[in-house]
Amino acid sequence: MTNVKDHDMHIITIATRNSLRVLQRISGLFSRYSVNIDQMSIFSGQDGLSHFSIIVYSDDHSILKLTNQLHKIIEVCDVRVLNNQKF
Amino acid sequence: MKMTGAQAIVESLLRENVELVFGYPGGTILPTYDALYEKKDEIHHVLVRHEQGAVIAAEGYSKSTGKIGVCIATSGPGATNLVTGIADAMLDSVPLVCITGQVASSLIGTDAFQEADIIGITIPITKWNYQVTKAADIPAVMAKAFYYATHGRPGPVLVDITKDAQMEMLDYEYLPHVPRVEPVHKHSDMKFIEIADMLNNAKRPLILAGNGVGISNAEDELLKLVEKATIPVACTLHGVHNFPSDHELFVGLLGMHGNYAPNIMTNQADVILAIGMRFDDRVTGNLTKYAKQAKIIHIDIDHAEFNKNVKSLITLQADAKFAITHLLRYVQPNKHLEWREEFRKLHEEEYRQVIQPELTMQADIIRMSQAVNMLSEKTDGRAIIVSDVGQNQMAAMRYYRFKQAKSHITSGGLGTMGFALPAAIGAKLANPNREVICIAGDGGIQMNIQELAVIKQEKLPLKILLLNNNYLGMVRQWQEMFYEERYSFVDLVNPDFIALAAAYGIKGSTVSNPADLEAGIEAMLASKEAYFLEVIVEKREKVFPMIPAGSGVAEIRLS
Repeated sequence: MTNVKDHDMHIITIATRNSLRVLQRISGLFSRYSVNIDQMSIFSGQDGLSHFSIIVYSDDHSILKLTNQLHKIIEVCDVRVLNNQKF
Repeated sequence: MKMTGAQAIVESLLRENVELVFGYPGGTILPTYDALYEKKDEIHHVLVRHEQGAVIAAEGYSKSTGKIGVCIATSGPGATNLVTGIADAMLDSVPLVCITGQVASSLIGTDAFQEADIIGITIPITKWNYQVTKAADIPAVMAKAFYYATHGRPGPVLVDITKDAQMEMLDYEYLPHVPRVEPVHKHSDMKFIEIADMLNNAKRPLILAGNGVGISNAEDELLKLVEKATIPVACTLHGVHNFPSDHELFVGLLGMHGNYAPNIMTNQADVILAIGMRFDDRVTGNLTKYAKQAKIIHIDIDHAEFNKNVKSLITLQADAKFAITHLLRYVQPNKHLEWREEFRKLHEEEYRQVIQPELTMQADIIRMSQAVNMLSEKTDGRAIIVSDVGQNQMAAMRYYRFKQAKSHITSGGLGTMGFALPAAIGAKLANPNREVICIAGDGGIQMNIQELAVIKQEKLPLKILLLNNNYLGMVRQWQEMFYEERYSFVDLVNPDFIALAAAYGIKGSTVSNPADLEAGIEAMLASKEAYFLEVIVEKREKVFPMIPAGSGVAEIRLS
């Protein structure tokens, strides 16, 4: 097995309406693009949205394809990516 | 207005101007079928013989009209039988609303009879799906389903409705769905000027036209753009009916079994304008050898397609019609005579080495291409051609000379064998005044052959052209070329198709002698009712040109 930590760390933040299955929709895309979730936290904001913060180690192109698809989930309102090189 | 959830479903269909649905009743969808019975004069329900037939027929209806296709199935096996068609619609951007029954909400999660988690199953293959457990939610969910099926890049939506929600009463109020944020794609004129400048200054420009041109009804605009700037146009499998194939600027089809010239010239062009296409691997071949020299401009409604497979210099998220209309203002007339001459030379090479020999009739055996070519002549390129998957599909794409939009219906992205027959049924129901011809091979037709019964029940004058080589021809071709002729399970012992058609009340005939082909096709076309024409074709035919898997577009082979 390749060590996923050979790749750059990315923090993906997602704001989404909280409905049944939304976690399944989001996590399903991560597995589809073979991006393993290293850490994840979710909290409910005062804006009525659920905020995901997900740490992954992956290459930039996979992250681009993944986030492009995350934007297309109807319940998702916002997707942002932070790369560790930008800290 | 007080009504049951089931009546609300049907009411929503009526509000969305649905006239035709395809489906199959069963336990958990019974209340909705009871409500459909009340409205059977307003909504025509077509009873298929397998739910896969329903969803694919809905695709055929949608692809031939641009309207939303609707199918209905029960829970469990009814719903899971829809899955292939839903995945097909997802990849080919076909707007569908699929309605499935679900076990009563109190039974969900108990492994109840005919319970399947169809929402979980279809999350990756729908644009959106939702399980309704309360009748009061039905109007809003149905409105949302219809909105998302067509909004942006079209696709399938599934609404799963528990039996108790169908039986519960609600106060119906129809409200069209309004999203919280309406995405608008605003583009300054500068962007169009920038793109037009690139085209105007290009010495070797090439336009790649895909499915999106047809979805946005931009066929006329594309023609105007191409004629104004005199730029060669190559089409994808789904783009082929979006540009007249007899036009002097049409240079052929892209991809694995496309034409010689456009594939080779993809790697010669200096500017490539891709409109409503997604650089599918069957189009690009090996990406490391794809159009590296070209400045690529990619116009698509789906931002997720940008830079997914091919890196573009300029991307523009827009509806094809909107984008082309704006570009038209800024492109300048041009000639590109030398560049076009290069296409002509390459086309002549393909004609000499592939097309002419293929179309030259032999004394003893018919080729697929000859049957399609004759069909094209006899229908003047104006029929709706619904092809299956494999060699028959490639023959239909290559040798039918489409002159009309919304006329080529096939399963492109998913490559669903068994697609043609049910899709043709959907297309014929939507286009009673056009000739609709299902072209299939002997493998694919048997994957949904049960739908022949629908042709009889609906009294559809649908024509079926079976290209029978008693082989899974495309797989056999690969085994011959790349697996040392080890023909592993591709040899079919087939039924007597004409007797089978007759058992379903459909007349037909078999042609095996080249001398009889013309009369056979004329008899099929002259028939006022459904007709099943079986043409026995060359067993060992191979489709060429071909870009072998892993090769670049310029490595396309003529033999």
